[in-house]
Amino acid sequence: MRETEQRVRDKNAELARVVATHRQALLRYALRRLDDHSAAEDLVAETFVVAWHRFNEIPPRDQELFWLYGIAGRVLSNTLRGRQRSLRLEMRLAFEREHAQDAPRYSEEDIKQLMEALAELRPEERELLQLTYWERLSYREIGLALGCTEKAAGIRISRARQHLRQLLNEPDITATITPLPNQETL
Amino acid sequence: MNDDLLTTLMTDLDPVRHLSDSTLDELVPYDHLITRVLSGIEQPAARAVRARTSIWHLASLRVSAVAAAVVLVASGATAFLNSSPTAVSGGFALGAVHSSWVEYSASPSTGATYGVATRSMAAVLISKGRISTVLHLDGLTITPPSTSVQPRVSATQMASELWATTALRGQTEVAFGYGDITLNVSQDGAPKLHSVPVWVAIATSKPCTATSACGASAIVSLPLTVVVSGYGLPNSERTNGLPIAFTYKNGGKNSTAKPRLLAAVEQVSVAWVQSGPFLNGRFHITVAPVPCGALNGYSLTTNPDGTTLTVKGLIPESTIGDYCTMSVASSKDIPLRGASADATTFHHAPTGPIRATN
Repeated sequence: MRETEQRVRDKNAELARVVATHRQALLRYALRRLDDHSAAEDLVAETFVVAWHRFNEIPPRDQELFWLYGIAGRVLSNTLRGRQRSLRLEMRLAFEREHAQDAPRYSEEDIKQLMEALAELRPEERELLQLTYWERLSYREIGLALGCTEKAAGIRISRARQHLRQLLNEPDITATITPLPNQETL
Repeated sequence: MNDDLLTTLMTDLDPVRHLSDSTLDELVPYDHLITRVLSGIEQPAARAVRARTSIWHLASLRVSAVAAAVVLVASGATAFLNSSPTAVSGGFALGAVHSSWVEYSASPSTGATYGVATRSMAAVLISKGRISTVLHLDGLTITPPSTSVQPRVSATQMASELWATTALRGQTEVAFGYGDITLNVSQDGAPKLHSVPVWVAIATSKPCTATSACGASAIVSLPLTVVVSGYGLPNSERTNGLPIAFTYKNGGKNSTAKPRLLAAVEQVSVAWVQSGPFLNGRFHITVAPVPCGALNGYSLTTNPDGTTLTVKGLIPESTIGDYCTMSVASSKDIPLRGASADATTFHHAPTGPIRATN
């Protein structure tokens, strides 16, 4: 019995370290995908609860965050299913909230176009691109998060980009996306 | 589009690109988060709870306001959460619930009343709490039960549970009792049931009137909603241990739409505790997890005795499902407006099922 209690204490101490280390990254992940901070907090808390129950699967420290992203993605998928919220609406809300206080580098129409294209992607494609551009993960790290090889992650991301470009009606997109006057140009 | 352009545009879209670590720490402090996580860990698996005891039954276990608060603070006695999403094979979709956090007006309950009127559907279909007339609907037949069938729960208890079902919103007349059902609806995953004893609430928004005959033949031509629960009746449990529970809807005589099976979504009052001082006209609370469901909103009622806060949750109850949505205790701010703006003390509404008709 004493050993079991000791194991639980050790596990809780390890959990406290993992929460302290990764909470901000996970909160950013959640805030990027949900439209209010309470829901994001719920997602982060639920992710750590699931992680605790799967502690025997925890990877080395340099891979913990990607493992947690994988869990968060599945919890989020379940949450969105339960909440019956469309991604399109969420992204529009995120867009409106953001652009109410921050001038965009591109016209609203351009960014709306990109948002709509993202919303048209399959959820797994969208997640791949968000992990790439928002969480800024490498192919290897995305592979760790999604449980696939680096090469497979690269191929899937490439296909997701290709699909996005098709939705943006390439090659016209380069002509339609025009930096606003007095903004930084590429 | 080259990758640099895509990177730039995606960066512009990133909703949190300006949030610093310190802002995030303010938003969700470490101590607050770790407390919530530990609270969630202490709670046993919801799937196990669901297998043992139906939500219909759980929801009927009303607790007082004080007890609710104690249960919430104790974090775990409610035994509502699962450790991870669990897939359950078979059956039609559970039917997830919408979880927007909104304020409901606290107007009195409206809609159908529970009882037997001379010309009502109940008078035609129900006798001594039992179905007394055969009702042939599209894909669903309801027949009188065997005389040997004795429910293990009272009709009053089951009526209050079924009244909490959101499918009864907008219905103006309901006949409630128990009988046997035979189900043969062509819908993916729909169970085939033959003469299974269940409780039924047969509801319509277009009741018979004084000028229209109200026999069984007239009733079957109406658009009907039938909420079905096998709780407390013998031989109704499926192999996974859960009682049958779902909602059947059809469009009535002139409708070409096929009948549909949906989850029976029950509205419940959820336990809460105050978790902060009144600040800037807001009341900060921590709300208990909703078992396999989601928070849906709240209502405030003010009378001379004070203000009562009811936190509402929705729980999809179905024969089966795909996922039991995880939930943990959550924090909410309640803006105080109107009559509640000057309130300094809040009463806790009784927890358990609440009528879904308001």
